[in-house]
Order: sequence, then C-alpha cells, then structure tokens
Amino acid sequence: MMNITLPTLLLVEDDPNDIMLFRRAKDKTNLANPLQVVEDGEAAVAYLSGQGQYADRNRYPLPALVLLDLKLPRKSGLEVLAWLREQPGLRRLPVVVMTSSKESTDVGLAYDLGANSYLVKPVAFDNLLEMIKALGLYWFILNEKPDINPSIGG
Amino acid sequence: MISRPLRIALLYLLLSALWIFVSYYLLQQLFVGSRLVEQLELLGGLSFVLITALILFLLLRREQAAVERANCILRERERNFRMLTETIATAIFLYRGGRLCFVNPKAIAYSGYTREELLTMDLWQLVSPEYQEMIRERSLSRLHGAGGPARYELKIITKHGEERWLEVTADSIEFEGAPVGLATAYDITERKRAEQEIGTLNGDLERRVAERTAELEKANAQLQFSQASIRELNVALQQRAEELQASMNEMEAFSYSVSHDLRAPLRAIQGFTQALQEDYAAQLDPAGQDFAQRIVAAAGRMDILIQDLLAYSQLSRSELSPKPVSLSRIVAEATSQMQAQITEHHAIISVVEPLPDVLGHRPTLVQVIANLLSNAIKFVAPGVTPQIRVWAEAQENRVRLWVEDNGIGIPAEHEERIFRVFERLHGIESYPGTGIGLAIVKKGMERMGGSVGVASQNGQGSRFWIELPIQEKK
Repeated sequence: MMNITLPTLLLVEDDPNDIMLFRRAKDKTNLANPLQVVEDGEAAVAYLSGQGQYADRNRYPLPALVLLDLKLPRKSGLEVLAWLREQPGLRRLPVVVMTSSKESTDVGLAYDLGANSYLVKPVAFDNLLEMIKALGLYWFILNEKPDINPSIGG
Repeated sequence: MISRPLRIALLYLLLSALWIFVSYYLLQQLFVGSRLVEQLELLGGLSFVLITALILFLLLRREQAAVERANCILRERERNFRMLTETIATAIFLYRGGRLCFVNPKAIAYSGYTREELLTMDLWQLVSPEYQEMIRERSLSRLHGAGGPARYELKIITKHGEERWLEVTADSIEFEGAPVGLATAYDITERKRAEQEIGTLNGDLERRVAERTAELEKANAQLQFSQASIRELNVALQQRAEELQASMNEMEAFSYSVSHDLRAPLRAIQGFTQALQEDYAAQLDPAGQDFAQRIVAAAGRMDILIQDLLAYSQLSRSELSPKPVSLSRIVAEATSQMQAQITEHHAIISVVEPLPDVLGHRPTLVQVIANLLSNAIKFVAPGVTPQIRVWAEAQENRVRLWVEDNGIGIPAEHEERIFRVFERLHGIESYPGTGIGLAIVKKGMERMGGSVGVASQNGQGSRFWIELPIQEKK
C-alpha cells in the first residue's frame, strides 16, 4: 500500500548500464519512491501523455519528477522537454536534466526550454549515491510540488 | 568752259584792238592835221609791242614755275612710292597679262631672280609645279574682273631651286592707266616648318599616346585576368573556409561525443567494479580486491583526463570576449573552488590586497588561477605545508599577477615544456595529474590576449605569473 501513495519517479535513459547503476544506487539510498523507466524520447512522450500501453495510469502513474537524459534515440531530451512545456496540463512537471555532458550550450538550452535543474552523471558510483540521496531529499521531501492536472487541454 | 590759253588770247585780242582804236581816235582829235600824228602813231605801235612782250614774258615765266612745282611734287611722290615699295616687308608683284611688270626688292629677294629676269617672266613660272595651273587660271580670270581679293598659301621655287612658302593676297588694281594684277606676299616658310614640326610632333605624340594606350589596355587585360584569378582564389579560399568550418563543426561534435559517450562506459566500469567489491567481496581474495581497486582508480583517472581535455578543447573553440573583471573577486572565487584541496593539504594562501581590475574572461580566468593554485598546493616536497602568496603589480597598461609557492620548483631547462599538453615532470605515483593543467593556463591566457610565465629555481619554489591588460579606473 505504501508505494501507491508515494509519488513516482520517471527516468528517461537509454543506457542499460546507467539504468542498472541508477536502480542499484536508488536501492542503496533507500529511496522508496517507485521508479518507472523509458528508454527513448518517443516513449517518454507516450508515457507522459498516457498513450498506448501507458494509458493505464494505475500501472503507469503520472510521475512527480522526470529525470531526463539529453542524448536519446528517436527524440532528444531537449525535444521531449520542449514538448512537455507546451502541454497545458503537464508544463509544471519538474524536470531534472541528468546527462553526461556539461557543454555550456546544452546547459543554456536546457534552462531556456524550462529545465528545473541540470545534473552531470558522476563517474564514481559513490558520487552517484550522494547525488540520488540529495535528489530524493530535495525533490520529494523539501520541494513543494505543483498541482498537475493532465486533463487540462487534453 | 573756256580754257585758260584761249581766255588769254581773247583778252589779248580785245586789249590790243582797244589800244589801236583808242590811240588812233585820240591822235585824230588832239593833233588834227599835224605831222606829229604819224610819229606819235609809230611811238604808240612800238610801246604796244613793248608792253605785250613784257606781259608775254611774265605769263610764260609763271607757267614755267607752275610746271616746275608740279614736277617737283611728282618726283617727291615717286620717291615716296619707291621708298614704300622698297622698304616694305611684303613682296609686291604686279602683272599685266601674265607677265610681271613690277616687282619690289622683297619680291626679288624671295624669288632669287634679278629684277630684269623677273620682268621677262610670267607670274606662275615662279610657282611650284603643282600650283602653276591653278595660279594661271586664277590670275588671268582676275584680270578680267572675276573674283575679289583672295588670300592663300602657296609654294614657290626660287631660282636656286629652293622651296619657299608664301602667304599671298591677290587683287586687281589700276596701274599706269590699265588694270593689272597685284600679288602681295610674305614668307611663311618658317611658320610652315614649325607647323610641320608641330604636325610631326603631334603625330609622334599621337603615336606615343596610341602606344601607351595599347600598353594600358594590355595591362588592363592582365589586371582583369589577375582579378579573375583573385576571384577564383577567393572562391577557393571561401571553399577552404567552409571546409575548415565543417571540420571545426565535426571537431565540436567529436568532443561532444568524447564528453558524452566516453564517460558512459567509464561509469559502468567504475559502478560495476564497485558492485563487485561490495556484493562479491567474499568470493574475492586480497589480490582480486586489489585488482578491482585498481580498475576503479584507473577509471577515475580517465574521467579526470577526459574532463581536462574537454576543458582544453573548449578553450580553443569558444569566444572569450574580454570584459572588465576584479582580480580580487576572481582569486576569491578560485580559492573557494579549491577549498577541498586546500583543507586536505592544510595549505596557507595569502593574497596581497587590493588587486587591480583587468580585462579578461571571468570563467576562464577563474580556471587559470585555480589550476595555478592547485599546482602550487600539489607540487610540494613530502611533509611540507604549502604556503602560497598571491600579489599583483601594474606595468604600464598591463597587470602581472604572481603566484609564489614553496614547492619543489622547476628546473630551468623544463620551463618551456611544462606548458605543453600531456607534459609531466613527475611520475603519477609521486604527483598525480593529467599533464593538461598548465596547458589550459597557457591556452586560456593566450585566448584572452594575455601571457603566462614562470620564474623558478629547482628546490626553491616557483613563481608563476600571468599578465593581462589593465582596466583603467574611470
């Protein structure tokens, strides 16, 4: 029953190693929020708009936080972000960009498109643990969540 | 009406008749019948003859004086005429029919013939053959009253065969009671020669102008040809620039990939090795544990290497527009970035405030100073507490910032090498690093229009300096 009440975390990530390491780090930090993973940009859009297999919101609940990689197949992270910020019912959804690159152009573009935060994936696993701990504390406990109503404007 | 001689004769007739009749009548009345009458009549006749002889004498003498006077005037006039015709600078030819009937000395001088020879010649015989027929026709028709005065230039041949140009004015006048042709002329040979010379010079000039024009046209054609080649070169250059831009873009995409894709496997290596260490520690003996630890460390080093290389390549690619910045704040920012390292090594950093303002690119300058501080902390002999002094000195329009340490120093022969990429003076074991830190410092300073250098003695610490344009106080 507990995992029903906890808000969902959506990870948009195509690298299976990174997904595994993320899961492991999340388990180690005892972050109890349910994790959903999609592996490309189009899947992210489908999940967020509740289309196709993601229509069942009981199985695939709307996330309270999106962790978004930028380099993705089919649709880049920036495209997903741009799309999201144009959806009247979803545009308030907090998005944390989490990527390998800290190219200043990427950072600037991500903020321009409405990213709420920008993180660089650490190479050392210990640093990843630290980061996920901080992430959970900040976004799920300290941060006041906005009202999200996906039915607005379809 | 009545001519003077007739008047005189009639007067004489009247007076002598009156004389005879009056004297006869008077004698008849006074001396009637006297013998004296006949003597008186004789006396009267004689005195008449005497008086008339006297009158005749007086009259003739007066006539002769008048003639003398007229002759004198005539001679005077003739002398004047001759003087005029002989001293005038114009040649005068008079001709009757075609034959010359008067020439003045100038005409003689021009033609080279004597007066006697000329007076036996026709006018046109003097003229150069090509003009003879024309002159003949014109001068004859002029004598018959055709055409007014005319002026023309013509060429004559002198007695000695020389050519001479004359400007001739032709007219017809009355002379000695008959119409004659008058030709006045003056010598224009010099003028003609000058004209001819001018003509030659003009021709020469025109020819030279034509030559020069031709040369110019040729040069122009060459210029156009070179312009065409320059255009071609420009096109080639443009193409080369585009290619260069394309390869720059490629390079950028490449370094993006390095940044993004090379680090993903590193994360996997480190993450899973650590998972192995944690989850399978029981199955690994100490050697296996050591190997796993080495894998983690190597992956970590490679990550730092990639990050440094990226920072270096980004310095070459990005535009570093210099702006006024406060060195005090830059140094403070760099120090705070280095806080972990400073704490770890118990380093003491003293900054001699105030530091001036300079023209630079803030993030690059922070990175440069952080790298210098990092080196100053890192390269000390074992057991030595790093002590770093930072100060600035203004030099005309530039500022030099010094970073002095108490480290191991740099042998003079290596002072150039240390600024190159991947150059290291020490083994990884003694002083870890990628060998890129000072290359970033040098590249960054160059990109900001500044410079970097070091003054060091082996074993006595190093003094690195960077130099930037000063920001003038407003």
